[in-house]
Amino acid sequence: MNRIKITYLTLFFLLFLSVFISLGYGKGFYELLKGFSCSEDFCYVLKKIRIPRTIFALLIGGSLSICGVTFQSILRNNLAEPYTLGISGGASFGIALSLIFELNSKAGPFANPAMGFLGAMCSTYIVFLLSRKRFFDPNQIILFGIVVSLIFSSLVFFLFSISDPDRMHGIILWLMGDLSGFESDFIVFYILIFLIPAFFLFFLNKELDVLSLGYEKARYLGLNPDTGYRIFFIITSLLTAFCVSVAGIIPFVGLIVPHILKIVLGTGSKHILFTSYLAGASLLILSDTFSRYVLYPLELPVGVVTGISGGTILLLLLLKRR
Amino acid sequence: MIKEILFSLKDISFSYKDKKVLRGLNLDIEKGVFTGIIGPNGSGKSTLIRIMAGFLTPEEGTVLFKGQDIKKYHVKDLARDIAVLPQSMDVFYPYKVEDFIAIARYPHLQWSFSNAKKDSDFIAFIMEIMEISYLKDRRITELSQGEAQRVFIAQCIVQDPMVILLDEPVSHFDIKYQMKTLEILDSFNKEGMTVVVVLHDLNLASEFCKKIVLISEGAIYKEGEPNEVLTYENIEDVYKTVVVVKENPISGKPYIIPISKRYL
Repeated sequence: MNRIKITYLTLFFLLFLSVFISLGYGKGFYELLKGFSCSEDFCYVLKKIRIPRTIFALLIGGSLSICGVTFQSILRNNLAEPYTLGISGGASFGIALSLIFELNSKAGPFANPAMGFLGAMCSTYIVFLLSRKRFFDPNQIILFGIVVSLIFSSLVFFLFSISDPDRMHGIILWLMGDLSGFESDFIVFYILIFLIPAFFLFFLNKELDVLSLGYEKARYLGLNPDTGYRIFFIITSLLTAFCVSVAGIIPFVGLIVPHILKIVLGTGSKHILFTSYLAGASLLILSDTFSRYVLYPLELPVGVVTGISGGTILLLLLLKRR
Repeated sequence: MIKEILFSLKDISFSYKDKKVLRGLNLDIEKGVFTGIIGPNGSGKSTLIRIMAGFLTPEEGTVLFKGQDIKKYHVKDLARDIAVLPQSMDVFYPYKVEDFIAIARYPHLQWSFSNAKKDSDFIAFIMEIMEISYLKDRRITELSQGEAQRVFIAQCIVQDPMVILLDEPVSHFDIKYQMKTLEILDSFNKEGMTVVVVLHDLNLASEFCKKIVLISEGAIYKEGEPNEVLTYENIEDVYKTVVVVKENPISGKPYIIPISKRYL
């Protein structure tokens, strides 16, 4: 059996295990094992809270990871992640606006995610317009991303300073990455909007490989790089914006997971995308479960957990690399 | 035998910002001929390669490939015919060498998830010829410059083109691999592949190229067989360096010896 098969098997097992832990942890392992004969209370918790939350963690962890794979390839930088293009800055600005003007109470439960999404798309579009003039030079894109992100973050702080601090508590939680604010009633809708862009990324795995060789070489291999960059920009920004608008900023998942899998496998994007989805999903489900129970009854934002653990792993990897 | 013209460049001019690089260049490249492009630094060799590949569009003039304006081709169709090795390739992604080379099958792929057995046999065969099979499972990011360059060339050949354009492919090599690489290109040339190569080493150009194009200040100074182009008058005029041209005792080709000013 080769390394690729072993990796797939391990990751499927890990995903299964983490879903099981996430659904059963607390009081419930026993009832989960008994199957559907669970008590009414537990069934309610399972259906209304644990299952949707686990699904969200799976979708967001997987999506962030494959966005990481894509960003690293098109920006030709192993340390790029979904937030490199300043998407988080734009999204926080959108959500901050929504919170200040209380759009939630005026326009329904989708107001926050929708504003976050608009903000995210807005900042990516600015970065895209700026980079297009420079032939999508990766270093320029990263620089533009950092600057745009800084400007938007400062705008958020500006909003902070002129408004009632209590009202801004929501945005602080959200900035730390939080999976508790989902809308479980619309779960099917969310599954679709997360899976469709992911499907496109899987489908375009060869194009991603070609673009990873750089602008000029991609052209020589028969891919119009301008079109290629445009398409990947659109898909990944959409997918990242969905993640950010639902769950805030969850750092390091999109960076660490592809990074490790590339070192382990070293294959083309096809296997890296699939395995990253599985690994990212498991990682976020486990981190979320951990964040729910480590300081029980207090619940930590999951971004704090991935930030601390992911950051430490990354540091170790960087040190090991000489 | 009737000569078939593969590339026909007419009155090509090109500039980067306000620096004029090519001025009214005319050039025909024959099918199946091992062609060398030589000229001083900054004379426009790399730009010429990029224009022939259709990557850059000249400000004036036209490029005909197989008798048709190169702009009319779809990029994927061009990639099936023309492979290009740019002057520098930088890699960041730790691909395994085999997977890295396989990316060049892209223009021949039918479907995103296809991974034909035929392709992997062909890749293994080319790696064997290029003597890089032993690198198969190594990571491209960990190779030495010379090893990586051989992998890049193998990647171009795996693209299975009818013409290959190489921009200074052997500059990083020691003499063993300079010889070996050009010999391999020569053997592909004998099987019908057209080879156009930018070389800095005039003696290598003399040994391997059937036709040499000498470029000076963005235009063709002289083109023809090595003994017509590599005369001491031409070289001294273009490179502003004193040389002595002898005959290589084995091959009979011109052999160029630069002479330092200290001895004049």
